[in-house]
Amino acid sequence: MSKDSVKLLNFWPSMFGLRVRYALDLKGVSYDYQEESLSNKSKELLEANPIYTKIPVLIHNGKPICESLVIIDYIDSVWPGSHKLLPEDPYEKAVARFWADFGDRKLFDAGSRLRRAMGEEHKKAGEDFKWALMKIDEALGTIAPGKPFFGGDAMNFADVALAPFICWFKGYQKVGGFVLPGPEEWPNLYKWVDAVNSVDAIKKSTPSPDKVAEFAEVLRKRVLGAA
Amino acid sequence: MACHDQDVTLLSFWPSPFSMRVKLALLLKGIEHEDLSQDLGNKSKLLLESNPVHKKVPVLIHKGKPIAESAIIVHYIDEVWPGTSPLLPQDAFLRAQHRFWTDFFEKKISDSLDRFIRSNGAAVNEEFIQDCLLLEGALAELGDEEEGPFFGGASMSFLDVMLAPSAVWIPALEQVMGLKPASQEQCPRLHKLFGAVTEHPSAKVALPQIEKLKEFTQARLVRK
Repeated sequence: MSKDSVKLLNFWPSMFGLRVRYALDLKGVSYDYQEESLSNKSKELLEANPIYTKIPVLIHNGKPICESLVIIDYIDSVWPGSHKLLPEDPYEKAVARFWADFGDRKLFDAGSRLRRAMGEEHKKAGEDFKWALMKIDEALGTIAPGKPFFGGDAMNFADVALAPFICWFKGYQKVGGFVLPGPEEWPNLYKWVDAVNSVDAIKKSTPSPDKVAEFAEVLRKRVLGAA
Repeated sequence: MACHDQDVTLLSFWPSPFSMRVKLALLLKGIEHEDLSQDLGNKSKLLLESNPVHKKVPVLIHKGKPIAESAIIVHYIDEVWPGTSPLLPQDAFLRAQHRFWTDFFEKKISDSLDRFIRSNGAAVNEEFIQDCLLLEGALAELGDEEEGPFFGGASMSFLDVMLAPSAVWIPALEQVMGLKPASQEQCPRLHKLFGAVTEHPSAKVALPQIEKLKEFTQARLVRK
């Protein structure tokens, strides 16, 4: 039986890359890891993702797959046996996809604006970021009441899509100039954070929040410097 | 074959390309449904309760449970009614390509069109034609021309459904607001695909007539 060749092109602070690492590690899939320098992208990256020249890219048996949610959907299809990420039930699947999409559409979008915007726009980005986390807190209470994850007892597609934001909380707060509400206001969210952080597969590849915060501040300084 | 599955309701808005995608998927699969047109200026209680997070159309309500976001809805429809007119490819890698290009369309092309409209045609995006060329390339790679004009060959597939509304929206924007799309010489297969969409019996019902879209676009321009 020929062995699968699995390679991930990534950049260590990327939330999107982390989604892929989480998916692979939860499923126990071994892979080669290649750290990319975004200011000096490898020929391999440029060829694997000519449209965006961005990480993450998963190269499976020589074929590249791009865009993190597309990648984790692919991973779940190809390695279904171990730790299924998408529920079998079509409605539950749709709910998981919705919250993964919410992570991009609302949470990442607000976080991105926190990093790039100024003045009123920056303030609004902070409000939007907190709103998005509040929605996630509510959703956790509705979708899986009493359970730690969107997936109930184990992480599912939505958990994997959203979990990488956790190590970025410190960084976002620094560039946003605010402190996030605590567990009294968002009990479900913080229970989820604790549950995610105690999963071995997650601990394996999560970068240190301090390092991420340093990186976030560097990005922010660049924006401020250019203003 | 008409699938009479109880309680399928679509909260729609006829000019919305996202709404059109879902309508098209339902029609391709012959799923009987109730189509409840929404007033987006005065959102109904049903809409606000069905999509409290985004408060947008389309929403599909199946057996009382709401599903939002057009791509997610079409995935759902394909999974619940797999027998007729299957949309997503069987092969995992091909499925990934359909999802990638759907995402590309939304990030790049849909976004360009949005900005064009919101700027009253002032924002001319050079990237738009480049992005259409990339889509043309995808079609050359993924669609077997011998089988048919679609990404799915002779029949419409997931990606075709996602792109179909452009078959009416792009001509409307071209004729009313002077949008310069990619020419037939630049994107011959895309042109053929959109032509085939407008001829497709399900699309003829799911997609509004270009004249109606033109009127809608014109009216919004006047109001600004």
